Amino acid sequence: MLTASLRVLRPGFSLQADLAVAPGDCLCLLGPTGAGKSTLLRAVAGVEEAEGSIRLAGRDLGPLPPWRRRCALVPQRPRPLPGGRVRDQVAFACPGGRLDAQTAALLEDFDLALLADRPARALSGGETQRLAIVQALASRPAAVLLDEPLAAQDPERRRRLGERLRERARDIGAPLLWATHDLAEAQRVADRVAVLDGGAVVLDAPVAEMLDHPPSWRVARLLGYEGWVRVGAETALALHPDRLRLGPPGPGELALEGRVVAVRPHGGGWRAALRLQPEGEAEVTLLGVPPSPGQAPVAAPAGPILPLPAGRRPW
Amino acid sequence: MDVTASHASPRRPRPRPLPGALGLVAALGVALLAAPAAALLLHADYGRLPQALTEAAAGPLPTSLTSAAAALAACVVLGTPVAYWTARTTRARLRRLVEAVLLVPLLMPPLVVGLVLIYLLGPTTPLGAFTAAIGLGSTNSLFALTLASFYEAAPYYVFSATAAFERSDPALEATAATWGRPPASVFWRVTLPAAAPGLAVGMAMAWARAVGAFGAAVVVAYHPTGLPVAIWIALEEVGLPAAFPLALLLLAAALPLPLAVRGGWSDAHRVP
Repeated sequence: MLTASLRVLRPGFSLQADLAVAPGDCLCLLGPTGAGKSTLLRAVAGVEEAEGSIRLAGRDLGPLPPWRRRCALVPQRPRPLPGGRVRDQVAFACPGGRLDAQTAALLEDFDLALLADRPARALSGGETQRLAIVQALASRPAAVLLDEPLAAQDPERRRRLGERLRERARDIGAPLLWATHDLAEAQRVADRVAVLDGGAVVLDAPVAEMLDHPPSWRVARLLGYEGWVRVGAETALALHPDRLRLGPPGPGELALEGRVVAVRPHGGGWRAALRLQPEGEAEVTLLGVPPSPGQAPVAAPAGPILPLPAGRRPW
Repeated sequence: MDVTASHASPRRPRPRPLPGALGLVAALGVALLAAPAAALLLHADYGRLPQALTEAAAGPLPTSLTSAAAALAACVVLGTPVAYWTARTTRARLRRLVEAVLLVPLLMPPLVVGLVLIYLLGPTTPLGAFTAAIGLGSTNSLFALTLASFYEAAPYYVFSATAAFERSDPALEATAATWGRPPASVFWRVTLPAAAPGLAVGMAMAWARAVGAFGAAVVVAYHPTGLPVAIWIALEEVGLPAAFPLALLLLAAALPLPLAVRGGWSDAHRVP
């Protein structure tokens, strides 16, 4: 179990965060650039000064230097060590300083087996990032800290390696802290999601429930809400494009009156922009035939209702 | 397979032309710096070269190479930790003080360094008596020549090593630490190799200074005579025709190491 209650104070920036991650679980830190994700990871790793307490598997990490914490960090912009082939660089991260079969398998897992004998400085940005992931896992860490570990991968690798990275961390049994600003990536790999904004945890929920209770319009936006409709004098319902439907409402759904104003392709389907009655606008994701512009019934599930003073818009 | 395709051939950046005026000034600078060597090559009496070589090989050349090598070793062993500390310390005032101390040998004319060394190392001083007792000798010993060369060379090594350590990335060291590697291991595997090109340049400069050390050497170590002092003696006793072949020899002895270091490491530098 990794539990942290941390405070970092720097000129112009402060971070305050409490988190808990069980062994083998993944907590995603979701948030915009500058929210404090990297700072939080670096504070847990011990490479940045922080106040507060960190405990890992019963040990108090607070007084320990980074090399005794065993919280392996994959930095946002990793660089290879000076000199040596890829396999030498991975060997340096291994506890015995030597590559074993298990670590060699990691090279295979992260598409580095064919590059193992190349000089590490010849790797591309994406390859260097994969090297950093393998180094972190090869160090037999007690916790794994990932700072946007797949940001430089192409979309196909991003999905495949994301799941693999999740599996390997589970095999090690280490708590996983994974910073990302990609909602879809968080949903693929996380057990829990902590939304960080302006140096504070503004939402901490199991991944299946994270969309249910955004505390503010700003967080709702981070979670993919793009629409709203006024439901009271000072309240509005937040609308998620993947949770709206065009058509008459089913049981438990809310009937809205809307007008399709624009349609554009979206993945394998369509995105329609809607104007809603009495006041509001939304986007809706649709499969199949594109809708034609004009009046349309809209069905919305029960969702988060947030305060919205009259005459104002959420975003 | 795409992973190999990107490495099939090394990247070849397009040559970037120097702005015209800058190129002109650079050429002028090179010409000015090359002029003394050219004059030496032009005016040396090559007929005297074999004789000069015989004379130098009998004493001054091995003396200079030995004392310079020992001085360089002392620069590296003593200077590297100083440079590392200077580059990494957060105590700014103490750092400035140490840097000022390092500047002193650079600011003092070598002649003055030599005079001061007599007070330190003379046979009647405690230090001189001690070094003589343990077999190193006091003034007019190979040890004295080494020490004189050390003072002339050390600041060049330390300042360039400090710059090298400042360029090596602390984030890289921090990441390696999170893999459980202790500081000593990170220093040898990460910090030192990252700084190596800069350290090598520092060694090249220190070597050139140590081999050519004259001012302090002529005061504290007239004997055993190194090449620079031998050149001066030749000039005093015979004149220019005797001095120039020895000077050529000094160039030939001192240049290969710096050239090799510059060539080897500057190629490695260009990769990223």
